[in-house]
Amino acid sequence: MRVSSEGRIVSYEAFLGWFEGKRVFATEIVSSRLRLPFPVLPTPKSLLLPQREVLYRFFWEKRTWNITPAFPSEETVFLLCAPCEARAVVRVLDAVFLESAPQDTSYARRRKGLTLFVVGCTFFGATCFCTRVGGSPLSSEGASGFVLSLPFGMYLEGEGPEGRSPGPLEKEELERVLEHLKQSAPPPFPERTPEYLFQAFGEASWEEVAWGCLNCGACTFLCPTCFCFDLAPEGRLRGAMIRTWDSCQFPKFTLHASSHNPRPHPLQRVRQRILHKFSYFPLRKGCFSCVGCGRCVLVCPVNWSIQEAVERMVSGAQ
Amino acid sequence: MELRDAARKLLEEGTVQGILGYRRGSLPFRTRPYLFRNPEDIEDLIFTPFCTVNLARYLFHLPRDCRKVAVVAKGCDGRSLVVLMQENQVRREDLYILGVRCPGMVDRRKLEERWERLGEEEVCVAGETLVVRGVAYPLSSFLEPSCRRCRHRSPLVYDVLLGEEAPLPPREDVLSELRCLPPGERWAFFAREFSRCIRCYACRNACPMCYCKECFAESHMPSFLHPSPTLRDTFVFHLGRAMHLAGRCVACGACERACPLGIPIATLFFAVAETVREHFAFEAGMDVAALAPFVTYREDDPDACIQ
Repeated sequence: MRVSSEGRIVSYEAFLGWFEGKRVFATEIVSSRLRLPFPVLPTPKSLLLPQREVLYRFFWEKRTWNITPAFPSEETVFLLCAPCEARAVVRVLDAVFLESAPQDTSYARRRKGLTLFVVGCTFFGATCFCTRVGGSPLSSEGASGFVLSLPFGMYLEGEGPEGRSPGPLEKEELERVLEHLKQSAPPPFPERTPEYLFQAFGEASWEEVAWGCLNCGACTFLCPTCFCFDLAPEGRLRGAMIRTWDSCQFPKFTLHASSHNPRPHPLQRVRQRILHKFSYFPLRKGCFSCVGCGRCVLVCPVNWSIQEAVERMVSGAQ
Repeated sequence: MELRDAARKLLEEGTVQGILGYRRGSLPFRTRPYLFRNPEDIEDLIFTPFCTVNLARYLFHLPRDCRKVAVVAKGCDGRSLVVLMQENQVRREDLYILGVRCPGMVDRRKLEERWERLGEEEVCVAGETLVVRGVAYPLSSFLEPSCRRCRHRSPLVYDVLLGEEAPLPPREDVLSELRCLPPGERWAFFAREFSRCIRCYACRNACPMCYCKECFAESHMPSFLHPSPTLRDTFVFHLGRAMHLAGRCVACGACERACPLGIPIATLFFAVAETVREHFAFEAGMDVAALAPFVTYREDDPDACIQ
């Protein structure tokens, strides 16, 4: 957490004015904190990996399949999002769809047109835990611009309208915000959490940890990092192949064609969600695939908390 | 607290192996369903106007060694248990119904919308008033729609009924506005609401009556609807559920409260429940012995199409 020397102060009006004529969206977290005239999206995932996406169209004619791939446009889009959500794009979604082989063409095209503009956080919300998973409320990772809304105006870094450099009083206020964030930041999970959880696969305590979860897909669908999808054709002889979100919490997620299901029990599916985010993914890619936005806790019908679950499972580690 | 004493006694005497109840959540106005198995944990057992989950659902989440379970049941949970008994999903002798008199559930979204950073300690319910930060408001305007139209706030079948008896406040017709609209606008209302649906199935999974091993919504062979949430498929899902729940739905509103997007799904189910009541003079969950209208066949059925 730092205040950069290149930071500048702009007015709210100038900030909005800069986006005029551009295609801009804001995520729910951002628009719940700042009054913005932009259309609202649940998470950046809705732009990059829409819930319904045509991959190709097909029809059967003269005893052959005719296939036309559907390419999304590379139109430039701005997205105002929270630091955790930008991290979800850069660290998780990009790692899966861009940096792995083969690259996902339609994701790559959408990603090329997307510019992230991070709106920093001045406080930790009730369900926030970004600092527990390596994030920061002031991180501008992956963003072209960074803005912090403060009582005296907008503190801006990177791309954006011109402004004036902060005066001594404003610097003091910024320092105060930084200090407050530092004091209230939840401490990170233990360093060897992924390894420890991997070992804990067979423990009996999962049953109690997982109990209460209704196995709906609210958390995974509204998670900025959950990227699992399903391919389902629409139409028989003429139609389209549709990509749509899928959730590891659904009983048919792992159903094999042989009718065998390796995860038939709700407990196994809850454990999978935790282990994928906090063990398998970090062991392979080097970072948690949870960015600590806490949305899953907020939207859960029974207030089930992944943070508490991980805490409970690693409590034996130290 | 009366409820805690009763629950502790049941566990200590070994009458039941577990108690399905509520405990505090991690956020204000949130409660969590919990299976209490140790008498020491009973201190955490609560019953507040925010215990919105229907606990009858959790009968399908019991560990195997939990043969007999006590359920903290408000009116709607109790009626759900009756339907589950009718449908042979649970036996009366395996249940101990800890009935509680329900004050009606407060819509936390309404509170969060109106007051910023409201703490749970700043809100209390006293009779028919809701006191927020020292100011009294009529409770009915903050209740969940399902509670505003509720006829039976206490369970009808129970082993013990706790709490003070209070007169049932006047029942509100929550559908009146919608009923006045022409069919086209009614359709537009549902289309607008359902277009936000992401088909996470939280409504179905929170519903105590949706216990099918394989839901028609997720069936592949045959496939009834596409997994992507087009308005058409979403309508098929919600209307399909409405048909399956006709005569079984107790209108508890758990589906609506589970919805992460706040779609008023229960509206559909209130309409279905009222249609069944009107045409079959039947209300779900009133009597264990009563047969549901859609599982009965009478040779003298007055409706010619069924003979």
